[in-house]
Amino acid sequence: MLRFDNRKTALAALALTVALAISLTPAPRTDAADHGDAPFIAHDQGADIGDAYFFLDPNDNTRAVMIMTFHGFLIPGEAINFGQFDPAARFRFEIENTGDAVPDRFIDLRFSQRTGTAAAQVATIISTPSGTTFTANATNPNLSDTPPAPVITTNSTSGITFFAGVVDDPFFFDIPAFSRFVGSVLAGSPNTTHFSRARDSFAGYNTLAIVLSVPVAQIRGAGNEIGLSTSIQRRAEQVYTRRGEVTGVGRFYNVDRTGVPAVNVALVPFARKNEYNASTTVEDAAGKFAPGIVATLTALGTDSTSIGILASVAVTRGDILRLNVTTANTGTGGGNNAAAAFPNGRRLRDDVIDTLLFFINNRQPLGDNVNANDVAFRDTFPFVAAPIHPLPPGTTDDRTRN
Amino acid sequence: MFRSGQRKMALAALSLTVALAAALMPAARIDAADHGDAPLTAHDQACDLNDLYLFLDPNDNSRLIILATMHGFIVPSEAVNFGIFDPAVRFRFEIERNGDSKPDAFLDVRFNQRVSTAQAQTATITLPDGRTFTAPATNPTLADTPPAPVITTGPDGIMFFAGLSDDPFFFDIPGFGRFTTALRAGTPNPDLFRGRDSFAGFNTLSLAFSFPLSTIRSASNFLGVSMLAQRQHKVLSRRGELVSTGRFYTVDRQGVPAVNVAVLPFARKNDYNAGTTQEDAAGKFDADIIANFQSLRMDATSIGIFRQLHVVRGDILRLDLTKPNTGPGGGNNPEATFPNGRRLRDDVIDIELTLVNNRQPLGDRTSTSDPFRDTFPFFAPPIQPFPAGTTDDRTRH
Repeated sequence: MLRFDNRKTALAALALTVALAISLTPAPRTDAADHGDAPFIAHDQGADIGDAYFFLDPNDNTRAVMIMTFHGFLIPGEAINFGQFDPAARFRFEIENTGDAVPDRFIDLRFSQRTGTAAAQVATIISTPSGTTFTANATNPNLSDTPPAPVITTNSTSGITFFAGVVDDPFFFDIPAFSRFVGSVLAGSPNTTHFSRARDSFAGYNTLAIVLSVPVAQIRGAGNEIGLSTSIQRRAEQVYTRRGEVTGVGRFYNVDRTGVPAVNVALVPFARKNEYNASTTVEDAAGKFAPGIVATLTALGTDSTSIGILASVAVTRGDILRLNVTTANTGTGGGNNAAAAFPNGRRLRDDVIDTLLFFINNRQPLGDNVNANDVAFRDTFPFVAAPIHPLPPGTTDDRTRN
Repeated sequence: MFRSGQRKMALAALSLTVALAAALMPAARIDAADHGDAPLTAHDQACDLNDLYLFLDPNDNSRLIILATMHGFIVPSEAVNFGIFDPAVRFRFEIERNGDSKPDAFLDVRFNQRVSTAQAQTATITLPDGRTFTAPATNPTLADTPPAPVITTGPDGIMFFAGLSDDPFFFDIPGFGRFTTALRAGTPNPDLFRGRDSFAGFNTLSLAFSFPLSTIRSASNFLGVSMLAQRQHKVLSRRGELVSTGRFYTVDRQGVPAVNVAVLPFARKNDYNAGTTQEDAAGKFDADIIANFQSLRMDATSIGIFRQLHVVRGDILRLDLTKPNTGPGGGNNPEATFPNGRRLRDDVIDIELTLVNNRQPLGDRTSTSDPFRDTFPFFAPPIQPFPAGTTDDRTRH
């Protein structure tokens, strides 16, 4: 067993998590989020999902907030060149509201081809099965000293509020420390001192994000639980032309997906990571990846109780983030009351890594000592923090923690 | 005319450049390198070429060095996840050696599918004469110290390296963006250059070749190189597989620094990347390029110099093989500076800005402090994760 470290919030979150877990529900994944989780996606950053978040708006618990981040590690100096949405991709929020692994509703987003650096891209938002469609501007990136104000659009028919643009990456996690720790566990000499680095690999970088706020009444089913999985899809064939165009032909396939944080990054064996991204939550529940996930956890020394808990979150009913809409969410930055913490959905401030490490470590406290994002989240929609912008001459730029 | 920036090296390089330019030869482009140069490559970073370098080995001027970088802005903590070469891409170096715009030989590099994070990818290099050899890439790690570069010597003494390196390019992107906006508005202000290197603190994928000159040159004393990243049509499957079929299309290309990033209008950037050096010479992009230069208030002389460099004989980096190259970090004697090929330490931005500024000195106030190696592969090692408690102030956003 590994020795644990200290932190109070982790322990609070833990106690809660354990309570939840024992009462049978979810519990989390091994580590990180989903950035660069598979070989193909490492080459396709326009479709590389970072994280999914799902929580009740702490200012109005009748609304659910869904966030998908993707194309991470955007730097302030390249906001204009890289801070754009791929018009060839389809961004999909899958909503499950009957308690199984089958998605029941979709909210799909596409973006227009960019026509110039001065004009914002236009998103088309399609909510099914109701069929509501509306368009809204993304927030156009710029290279000025101050970030652009977020452009927020509410569609009166569907009640959906929309934002898309470059934001500070909300995820916080020490990637090298985790990797070294796992290496030591696999070598039979677990060494938690690797986590003394306490460096947030995501500090100082921006990412693309889509944020939606949806009336709970519109997406819930008969029960009190709603599930969310996110995916980015491309058409079956990408055909290049001599004029430098790419045309997508055929049906859409998943290129990346994420629900519960870190499943593919940390638990699925390397050889199956591409396939995992391409698969569905129904295939998860059918056990398509269960043996590989169990083998990874077993190699990490995780006992059958914790494996059972983790499987119940990410495998048994699919890799879906599940939110109890009767659990009140309150607090700043998207909410921080202990009662509503991950794995009840996921909020921006939830330290999901420490929760996951706790289970991997057979329910003994363990954390990566990175406990919060490097900048504060907004208290209101879109909740994610403004992007980091170019700094004035002579400024020390020490926000990254490589 | 705006006031000039100061730095001495820039001035030395400049007087040299102007002399060269007057003598009819090349001169440079507006600004940056080629990172994220077009909408398509912004979404396809594995195919996003950054910079191309071409110089004689300062330790042995009978060898030719070709360096290239692609997939920039890889952070140290993601070296293992992102520091890999796309097996679906063909990296192609076009060699031009009789003074026109038509490539005369090709040098291709492909990588195998990665099988695990612990195992290096294998590169297959196809030489201009069709011979091939394989070489391991340098496998990325998350250790505190960078892996030693794995250098393979192939047939005829040809040397090869592939792996992560500190991005060698140095340039203030926001400074340049603000300056050109002000310039177009008629109120140029060099103080808009902040002196911050947007590339500091980031790694990039990189390739390096060292050729005995005799194995690659022709009778001419000049040799030109242009680089391509190419893909075939892609077909996705439900198993998460991606199959590539058919002919190769160029997704990105790079010769003289910054042509596409800075000079082509937004609507033609994808088209430019897919174009050829022969199409450049045929004037396919000439009108747009001239219009953009005029909007930057450049005079006919400077426009003419730039067009010589990347339009008239195509967007190709050209090196005079009779000009000695000496000095540390891949060479730094002023005689051999860009636009005579390009070395890691050449401040190509300041040289280009001076031409934009109608041959009055102008610079972006950034210079390199990267610890370039003095020997092959010359690139500086990648930045690795830092120990606990270290202040990480290497980026200059």
